[in-house]
Amino acid sequence: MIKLEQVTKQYDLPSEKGGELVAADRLDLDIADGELFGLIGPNGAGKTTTLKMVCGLQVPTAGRITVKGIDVQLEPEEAQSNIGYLADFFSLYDDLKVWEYLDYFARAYKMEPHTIAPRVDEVLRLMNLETKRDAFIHGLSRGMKQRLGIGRAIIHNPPLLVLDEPAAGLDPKARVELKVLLKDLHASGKTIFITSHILSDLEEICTSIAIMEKGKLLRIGTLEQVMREGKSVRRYRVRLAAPGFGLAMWLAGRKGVTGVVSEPASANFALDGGDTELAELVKDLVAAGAPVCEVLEMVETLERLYSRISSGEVM
Amino acid sequence: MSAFFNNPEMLRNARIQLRPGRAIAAVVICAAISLTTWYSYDSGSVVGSAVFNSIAMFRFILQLQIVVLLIGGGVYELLSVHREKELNTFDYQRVTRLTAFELGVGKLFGAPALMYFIVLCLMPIALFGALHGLFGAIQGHAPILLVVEAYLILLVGCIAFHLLALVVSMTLGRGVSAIAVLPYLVLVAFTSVDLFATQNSYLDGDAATWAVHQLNPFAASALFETNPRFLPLKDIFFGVSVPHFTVLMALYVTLAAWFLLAIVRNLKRDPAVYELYSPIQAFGFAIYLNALMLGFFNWKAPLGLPIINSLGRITGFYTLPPLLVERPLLYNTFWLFILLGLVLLRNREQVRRRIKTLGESAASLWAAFWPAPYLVLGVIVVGIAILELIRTYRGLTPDQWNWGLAILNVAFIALWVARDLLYLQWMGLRRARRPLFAAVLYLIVFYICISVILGVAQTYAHPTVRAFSAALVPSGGSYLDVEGWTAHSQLWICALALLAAQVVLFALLQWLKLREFVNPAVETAPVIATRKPSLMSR
Repeated sequence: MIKLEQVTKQYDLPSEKGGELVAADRLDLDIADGELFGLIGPNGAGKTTTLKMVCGLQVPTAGRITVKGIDVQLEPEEAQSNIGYLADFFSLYDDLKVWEYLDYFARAYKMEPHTIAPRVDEVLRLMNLETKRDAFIHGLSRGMKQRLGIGRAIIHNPPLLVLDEPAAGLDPKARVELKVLLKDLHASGKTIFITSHILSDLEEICTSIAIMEKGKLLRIGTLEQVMREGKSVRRYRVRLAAPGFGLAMWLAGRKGVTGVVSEPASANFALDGGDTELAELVKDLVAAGAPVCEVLEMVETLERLYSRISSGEVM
Repeated sequence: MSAFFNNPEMLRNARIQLRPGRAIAAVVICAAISLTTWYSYDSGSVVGSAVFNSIAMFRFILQLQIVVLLIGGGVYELLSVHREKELNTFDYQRVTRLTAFELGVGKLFGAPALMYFIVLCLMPIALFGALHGLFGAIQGHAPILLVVEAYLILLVGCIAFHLLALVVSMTLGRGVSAIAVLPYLVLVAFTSVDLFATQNSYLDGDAATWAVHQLNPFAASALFETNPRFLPLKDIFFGVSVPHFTVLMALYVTLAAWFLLAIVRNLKRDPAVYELYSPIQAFGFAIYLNALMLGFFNWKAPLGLPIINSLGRITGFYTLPPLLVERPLLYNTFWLFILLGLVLLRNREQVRRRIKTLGESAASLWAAFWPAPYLVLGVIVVGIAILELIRTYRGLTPDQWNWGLAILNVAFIALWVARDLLYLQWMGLRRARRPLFAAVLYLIVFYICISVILGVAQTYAHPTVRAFSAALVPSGGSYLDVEGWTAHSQLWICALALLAAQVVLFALLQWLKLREFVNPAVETAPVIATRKPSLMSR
């Protein structure tokens, strides 16, 4: 659906710093049809720039982007007909009514005139905004405006949705609703390219992710691939029934064990190897007199993985 | 036609601006103005015959309509794109399937929708005054045609001005829309001056420098104001008398086409790489503007100082020497090509993209002369045209004319334009928040300071120093006559060479700047893990 080939975008840094900032550095990326693809990274990583380049809103300094095989730079309108876009800091036309707003974009996307009114009603229903049909936009809550923004993005039923931080500024209830909505849209066959700071949300809904920092893609793959990749060394936590045994010291002297973190009556550590090596370690630990009462494999979350990668651990 | 009225952008603006409450308020206000105007002109408070009063009332309402549409509509246009950018809604318009033309037309007629509505609301009283006054005023004439002409000038003229405002709105940076209103008003005021009529007031003959009447849509009102017998105003274009209405229509349509071209080329583009016109188009536009300037120049007029008799009355004009005809025209050309050069300047992003696309050739020494070739070529073409027109229309007596000096004047103008634009291009490539703005500011300060110093030091009085002052500012050359040129021609050629050296200097500075783009100091990302295979290959 989306293909980026050696896409680069350079900006100037403020004059006192000198040099150029590479917001996107020779990005290569393929997103297949039907993916729900999450792009994560800190502020200034280049996520928004990447999304804008995909939508044809910013021109890459170098490289090529295609959407459904259409070159975004050469045939922008043709490519854009396949895209529904929601910006991070978005604004609506406050003086329009909700239905007028959707009607405007339906016309702007050149939908058949006879299909516009039913489609507007359908989207209002889908976004749960039927009761606000004739309300002015300035009277809507933040969550409703966000839903209307997504409604605008899907009004022409595009196969691809590009959403930049759609959950930003939403309360927890609205976030849950948004997640459900995105899952539904994905289930209906749409490809979704999304960025978010709320990694737990992305972890729940994304089929694939990429981690981006300083214009580079640090990890790309399905969620499992990326998580597995981050877990080349498995991490465990051992809890003792009572303090007194020098657990951290014992673990630190053990071959294959690294990154020991001592806690009261427990410790967590990384172990090079699989289940056999773990069983061996536990057997030896018990034999050494440690009152082991619990051994847990620590679950790697996207948040933890991202935090480790972006702090420079992966080098 | 239905596609025009179904333009989504126009419809959106109309929906917002013409809500029932607002529309009713506009109707009520217009009705009140209409009734008050009718009462004041009909009650005898304005002295004159009924016919005269009706025409005066029509003129008043027409002027009101022009103010509303030209100034009110222009301000709406100035805000139209700029405000969308500030609100962050413009990107949504850019990702729709609307073409730049459709979006531009939607904004052109949609943004001032309320202004058009007000003009319509004032039409009944305007037409009442026009028909009553004009039918009574002249029998056997076709007054309806005059009213139609007035409204065509109003409509087409406002469209041309609105398109210019739209181009400005498109190119404005954040937070400067209020500043843009002022130049727009200045332009309206400047084009309100009827140069032909003003200067003709001395004599009945064609003594004006410029043979063209008022250029903005207020000319519609002037059809009735300055010409009580409703005889058509005439302009002179390359010596041919042309009805002013025809001139206005031709100007408005062609200028509107140029502005529309800039909008269509850029409205949906990334603002970082806006390019109003391609180099060839920009060159064509500059030549077109120069052709207008030369065409409306009153070649047959004497143009010199007035001859005043003992009673203090002007009885004629001294003939202006042909060299003094050439010089002001060349200075006008200078400004027109400065405008062309500003359009052709490249920003950092454009240079970066060119180097990524074309490689080292985009940073060659030849590339560092951008945009001088177009400017020099343009000035030479226009300069030759000026010389040929002077030869055709003027007697070239040896004591007043010298081909060498005439050509030197053209060469100076060409190099001045090239030098200033190469300086701006070099400065514009610096890494700063608004590099071009600062560069223009420095250039203005340079011109003011040098002119003051040269003036106070009376360098223009000394033939040697005067020649070299011309290498710094154009005013230095304005004092050169045939005698001075004959006596010090080598000095003046040295001054020209000095100016050429400045051109080369700024080209070299630009070249050094271009080399920085080839080897940029890039902020590097941390070392990363090897990228995994793309998802498609899974």
